[in-house]
Amino acid sequence: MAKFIVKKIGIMFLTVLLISFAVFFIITLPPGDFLTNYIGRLTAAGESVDPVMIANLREQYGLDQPFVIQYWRWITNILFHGDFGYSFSLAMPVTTVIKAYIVPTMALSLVTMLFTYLISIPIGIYSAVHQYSVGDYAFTTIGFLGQAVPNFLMAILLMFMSFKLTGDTMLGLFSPAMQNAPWSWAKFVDLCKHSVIPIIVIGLGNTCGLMRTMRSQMLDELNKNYVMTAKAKGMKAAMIRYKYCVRAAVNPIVSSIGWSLVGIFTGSTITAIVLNLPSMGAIMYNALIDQDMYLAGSWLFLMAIVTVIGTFISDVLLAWLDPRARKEYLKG
Amino acid sequence: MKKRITAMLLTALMLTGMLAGCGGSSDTPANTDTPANTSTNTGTQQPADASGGEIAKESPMLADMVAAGTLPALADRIPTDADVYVESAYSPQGETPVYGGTMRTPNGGMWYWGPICEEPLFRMLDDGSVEPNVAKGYDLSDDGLVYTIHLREGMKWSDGTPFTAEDCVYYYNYVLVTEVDNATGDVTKSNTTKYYNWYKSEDPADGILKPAQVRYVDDTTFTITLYSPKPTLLQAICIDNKWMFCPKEWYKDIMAVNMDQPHWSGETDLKLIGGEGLTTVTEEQALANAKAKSELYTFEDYTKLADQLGYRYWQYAGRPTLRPWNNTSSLTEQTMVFERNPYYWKVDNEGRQLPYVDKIEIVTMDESLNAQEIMAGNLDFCGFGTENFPTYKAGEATGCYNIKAMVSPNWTSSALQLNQTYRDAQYAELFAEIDFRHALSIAVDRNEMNEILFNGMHMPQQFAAPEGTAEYIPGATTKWIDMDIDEANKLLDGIDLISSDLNADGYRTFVGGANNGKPIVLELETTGDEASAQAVALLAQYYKKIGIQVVESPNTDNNMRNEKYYAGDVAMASYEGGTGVFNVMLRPDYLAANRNNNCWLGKYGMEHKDNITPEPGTPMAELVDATIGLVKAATMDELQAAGDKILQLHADNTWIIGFLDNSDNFYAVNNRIHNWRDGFVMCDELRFLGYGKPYTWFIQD
Repeated sequence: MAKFIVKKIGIMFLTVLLISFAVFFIITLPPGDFLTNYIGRLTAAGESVDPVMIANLREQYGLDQPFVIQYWRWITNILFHGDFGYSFSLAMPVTTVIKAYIVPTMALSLVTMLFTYLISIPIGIYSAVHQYSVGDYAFTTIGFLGQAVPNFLMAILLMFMSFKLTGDTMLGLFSPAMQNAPWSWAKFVDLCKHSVIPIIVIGLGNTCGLMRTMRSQMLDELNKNYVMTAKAKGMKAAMIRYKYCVRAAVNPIVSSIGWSLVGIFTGSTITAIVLNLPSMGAIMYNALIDQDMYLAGSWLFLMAIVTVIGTFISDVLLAWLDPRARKEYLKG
Repeated sequence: MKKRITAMLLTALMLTGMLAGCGGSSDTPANTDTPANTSTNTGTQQPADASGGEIAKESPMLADMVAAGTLPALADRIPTDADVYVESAYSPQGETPVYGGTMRTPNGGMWYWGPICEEPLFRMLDDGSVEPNVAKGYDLSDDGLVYTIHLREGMKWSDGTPFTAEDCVYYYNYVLVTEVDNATGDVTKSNTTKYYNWYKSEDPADGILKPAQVRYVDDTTFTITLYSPKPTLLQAICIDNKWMFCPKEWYKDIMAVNMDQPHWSGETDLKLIGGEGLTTVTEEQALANAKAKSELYTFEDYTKLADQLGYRYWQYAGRPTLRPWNNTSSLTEQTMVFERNPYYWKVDNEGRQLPYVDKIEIVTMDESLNAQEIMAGNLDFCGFGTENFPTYKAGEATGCYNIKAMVSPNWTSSALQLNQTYRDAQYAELFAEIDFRHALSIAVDRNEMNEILFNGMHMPQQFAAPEGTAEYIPGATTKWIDMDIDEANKLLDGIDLISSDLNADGYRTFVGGANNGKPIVLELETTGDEASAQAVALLAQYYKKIGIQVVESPNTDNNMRNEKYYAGDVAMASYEGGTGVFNVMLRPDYLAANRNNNCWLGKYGMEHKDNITPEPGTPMAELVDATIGLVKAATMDELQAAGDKILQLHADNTWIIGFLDNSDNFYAVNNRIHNWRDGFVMCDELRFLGYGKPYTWFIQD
């Protein structure tokens, strides 16, 4: 197992570096740079722009340097000084921006993830065990609807319903009065109320997928010979299901946990914008539009790290859960 | 994708608007038991005279602090009786204002919320005159060279430190003109407009524009001394340098002043403002000192620090100001809170300290959410464009808010510009031909354009100041607006540069020169959005009838376009939305020959890096002269003459071909906001919403 982990970590490091290079490259691809945007904003505000000033700024920010040098400066600062650079548009260090958004983003995503697993796994099992029952059909219908309806549309529909029922669209994580109030029971209740829509919306897309996966995996397992053997030996049906079938069926779900981690850190971008959630998604979106390269680059870089770590966790979990995976990997 | 989402949101909202009532009203179940109805969200409902018949002179929020001993009494916070600013004209009429509450508005950026809280030295009025604001008044010497500015005794910064003339002199000498080159007086590090800087006037001795001298006299008096009279000095200060002051004590260790190269005004001022106490620091020290003051002031380099804390200071919590509300949050907060300034120096005509409203919340969210939030009562005011008018109008029926119309300074909502200095000399020559512009103007069916592009919400109009404004020239708005294809063709036939016959594709061609035999193709630069694409498609149809081909050159990124212009590469022609000016004498941008990013002006713009001087005797040369005349005008008459000349040249030459007039700017305003003013011009010169004096608004359900 140790050898397995070491080998994995080595590959991870390399992958992250390659990704960082690709990320930076892609960000610098569109024509223009942050200053182009900055000029646009100055002009929109009625300020006059002097070409000399632009040239000076470009030099000062190193935007006139070749891409490779810009990349080298950026990555070495991260690796050796933990400095992710400076957000041009927000006029503050990238770390400050990330610090400000990471907690709400992660909290929201973790709760959503929990919601997803708590709902989808039991329903998947239920559907498999009670295949073609009314319940199974009902869940299948909901499942397909959930997958087919885009998240942001679901968000709009739920907001509309909320508005009709309560007179409030429940935008954001707090109501206006509670936004900046000190923490209290009332504020917590307010947060819970406001969390309902985001959790359902962000969670639903995944939930439906997972529900279907769980169902089909369970069905596969339930029809395997070992189940019949166990039954023949007189083992209790519940014992067979939960101790053996579920453990085997949950494999693909575990191997996708890694990818869910990325979602945890980004929040769901479009949904976050529609629901006005203080998650990193919206900030990231603006950073990309503004060509705020260090903010966008650092964020994408962090996402890449998280993805790689997530994949690593999935692999380890899978290896732990399923000895076959471990052996095959070491052989290969 | 985003557009589709917006469209869906709006559709959902149309339905919402028709079905639901005002979300903020208390008859909905959720609002009876949610904290949304606590006193932080609504006015405290306490008339200002509730406390035992005696009129409360300050917000209960501040009265509590005074009672707790954490804030001095009101009389010690505001200027003396003789000097306190009494707000009469905008005080609530026929209503008793109440203190308290929080107003919420979407985050439209610092230039949106900045002016809402802004306090200039002098304030510009809609007739182009000024009134004292932070200043109590001024005297002008007989020779017109020395302005003596009087300040208010007892006035304080929002942190309670006294506001004095030193703060004005310090600002001018150490924050503003450190950017001026000592030898030439030229601006070195600033993006301030070169051709009409308020502080420059012509030195009669050598004809050079030189910066004014600003001197301390006593704590409530300072002087501005010019080299030659400048009739609109105070207006220019209103436009270019509205906050001509900063808290010296707060800045002195974060503004790096280069003492080895003293700025143009020499060391005299240092002594006058108490130079001994004035520490000068290096740029590195300044950065460290700023960071030590607050984590919010962490900047990458000194230029950024000077720009952010020196110029765009109102974004930053903790910087003392004279404003009615100050930001108390970090810029990363989704909801930024602006809290009332306990030392605010204005009172209403009953002597009650302003503002009435305790807080403003600036909420960052996608613009497409504004409509639903104002309908739900979660926003108190927000602006919107004509394209969203139907949605907001339908929502108005819910009774939650009213739509207020503000006047736009733009002359037209849709216009065509031809680059007078286009790099292809034959095109430039053609564009200089007035008959060509005439033909392009009358070949357009403006009524049809209005129906197709704007749901008929506009009126045909040439590019000129609309009737009712001071700049209106009779006949200018209706010049060349009636469609006449035959006349247009006749005009074009008369131009030697181009053929009167059409080629196989049905287009006129150039005669002679490098482009001989090639068709005339107007490459129209647009912002690349759907509306401009439709407009260009229409123009292509109209101009096909007169043998001119039109192609769209979409520049989806408006910013790229600006940069291209600043780099010297101006497009051949462009289709534009609104352009215009509030007052040509005060800020002639877009009409005068100064800017470097106007398509029609091209390289004739004096700020253009490859500036071209027009041939003497041409209308363009007259425009350049008139622009210089504006800067150098020593009397009001000279200024008026130069301004009128610019307007007349545009009316005569139609360098910008206007199609349709401009519509109002709209705001949705929650009914609980009282004393909101509408109908004024929403423009930079009048400081947008700030002109409505938001500190006189109050909240009452």
